[in-house]
Amino acid sequence: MAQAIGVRPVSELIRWPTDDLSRIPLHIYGDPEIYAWEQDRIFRGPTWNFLSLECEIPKPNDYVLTKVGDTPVIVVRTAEGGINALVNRCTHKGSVLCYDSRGEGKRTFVCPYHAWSFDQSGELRGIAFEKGVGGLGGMPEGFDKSKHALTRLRVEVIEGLVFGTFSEATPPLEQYLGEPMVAHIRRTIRGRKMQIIGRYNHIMPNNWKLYIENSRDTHHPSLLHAFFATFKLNRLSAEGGIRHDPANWHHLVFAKRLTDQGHEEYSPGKLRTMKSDFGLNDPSLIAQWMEFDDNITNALQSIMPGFVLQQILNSVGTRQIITRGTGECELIWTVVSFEEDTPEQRAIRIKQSNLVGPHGYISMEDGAIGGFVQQGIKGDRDKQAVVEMGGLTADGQPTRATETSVRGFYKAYRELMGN
Amino acid sequence: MAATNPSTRAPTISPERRSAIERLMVDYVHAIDEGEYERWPQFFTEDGRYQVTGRDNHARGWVAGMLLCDNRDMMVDRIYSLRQVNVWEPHTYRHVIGPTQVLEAGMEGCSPADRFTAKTQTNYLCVRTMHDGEQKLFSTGRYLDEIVFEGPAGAETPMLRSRLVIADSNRIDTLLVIPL
Repeated sequence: MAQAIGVRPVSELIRWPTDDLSRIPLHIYGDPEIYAWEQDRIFRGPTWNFLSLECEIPKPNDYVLTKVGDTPVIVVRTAEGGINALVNRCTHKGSVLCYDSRGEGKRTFVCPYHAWSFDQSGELRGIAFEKGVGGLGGMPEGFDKSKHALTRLRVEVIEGLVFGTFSEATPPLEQYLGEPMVAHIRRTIRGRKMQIIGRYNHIMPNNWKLYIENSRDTHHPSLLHAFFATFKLNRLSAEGGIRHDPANWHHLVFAKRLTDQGHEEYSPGKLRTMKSDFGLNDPSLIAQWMEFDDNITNALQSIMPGFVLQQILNSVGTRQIITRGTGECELIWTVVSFEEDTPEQRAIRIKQSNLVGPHGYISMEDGAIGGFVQQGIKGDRDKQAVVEMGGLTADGQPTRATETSVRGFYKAYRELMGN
Repeated sequence: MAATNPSTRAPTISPERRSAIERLMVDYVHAIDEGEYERWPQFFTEDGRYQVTGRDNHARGWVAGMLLCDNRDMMVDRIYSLRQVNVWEPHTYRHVIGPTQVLEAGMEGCSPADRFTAKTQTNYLCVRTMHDGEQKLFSTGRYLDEIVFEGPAGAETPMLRSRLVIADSNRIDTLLVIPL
């Protein structure tokens, strides 16, 4: 109940149209009271939230700022080399302690307002004029500084990805992710040292859930994204599939572009997205090398609630959703290369950055489509979305012509929201 | 590449060449703002490079920018895709550009066949107008350009060999499909 103060109970706010997972009431994309509960029960609930890449804070006392939902968070490499995550809010009046998005040599966090100071563990160490001036004023005798520490998140790291959770009830990270998700993260990063090559801050004109649904919507890529269909990069007729964790909270969708056998639906003239007359004057854009033994050329891994690990050809990167009210969200894309990359491999990754981000041949449309939905539903908040492709449940399926992963998101959503 | 601090002594450039560069700057934004996107690649040399990046990315040496084209064919592909392939809500840009500052200028080499080149920077401000009339300040920043004069002696035209668009904000609202 930390955030959802002064709002009605969830049970009064959300009525699921069916007992199964196949319907989504449209008003959940625009209701500020539901949004307040989401902050409380999802982002500050028993979930692991992506915070940053470990390579962003390589040295002791480096820090970066991030957010978990709406909550500003400091991620700091401690003097001893560990990683701490602290809510960026002074426990005195509530000002942010850090206002520069990154920095180094940060052993203490001193509030700019009244100079309360906190150590890297979040403990309150000093109060300016604690004893007053000339024996007058100051804090009362019994004021206990140990009761005014910064809120501290639990932190765990997997393959250079730093996660944090507010809740003591969240299981350890690897248990939360489940074996298939852990295996794929390890397969994608493979212990290699990441180097950031670019970051895009993508403002989307839609509720955060619409983007997360999109990242899990396995049958839209070749229907919305002509670039995928035309170049046979990610069609449903290629070998691929969906893997889930045992709880069906997280999901992985993958495709092997070289196995595409074709399908009648992709015949010329049937789908808008099959452009028989579109060729690339410079096909080097989609030249790739087989980076992974499993021959997967396209893989998106969506971790509840708001993290995506991406491999599109050789473009590897992370996507982090930041909530910005009911009708807008920010997606932070970070694309990486690895220390062991050859210059040619690095150049390919840089060139393939054309596929992703707000400018991406593919992903620019994901920026538009959420806005289209948000516009379309404005007058029909009493209606519902239909997510019935592939059935009513959220289990793993050997096809991508399904909405099982979107239902998986709502399975987790409902469990967390408690209705 | 040197950015903001040219020597106090202005580079030597003839008034004719300077005004040709200014015409290039103006023509470029008019082509985009009037929707003549097919003209966009023609402002570049065949091996021309175009890239949009954010100020912060640029400062940190993060090189994977947006709309990264390292030759004119890639630019032609982008425009074809914009016209025929990508899904986006119709909108247009209006650029306002500031005066062009010449940072460096001179002959590239010492032989008579060598070409005149210049490095320049120009501020821009770009407003986006959606099909329903909504207007928004979409981007501000600067163009950091490498210009080369191409063509027969006496009728040389300035072309962009490289345009790096350094947007002040790293945020892009909804999508970036039309080049800045």
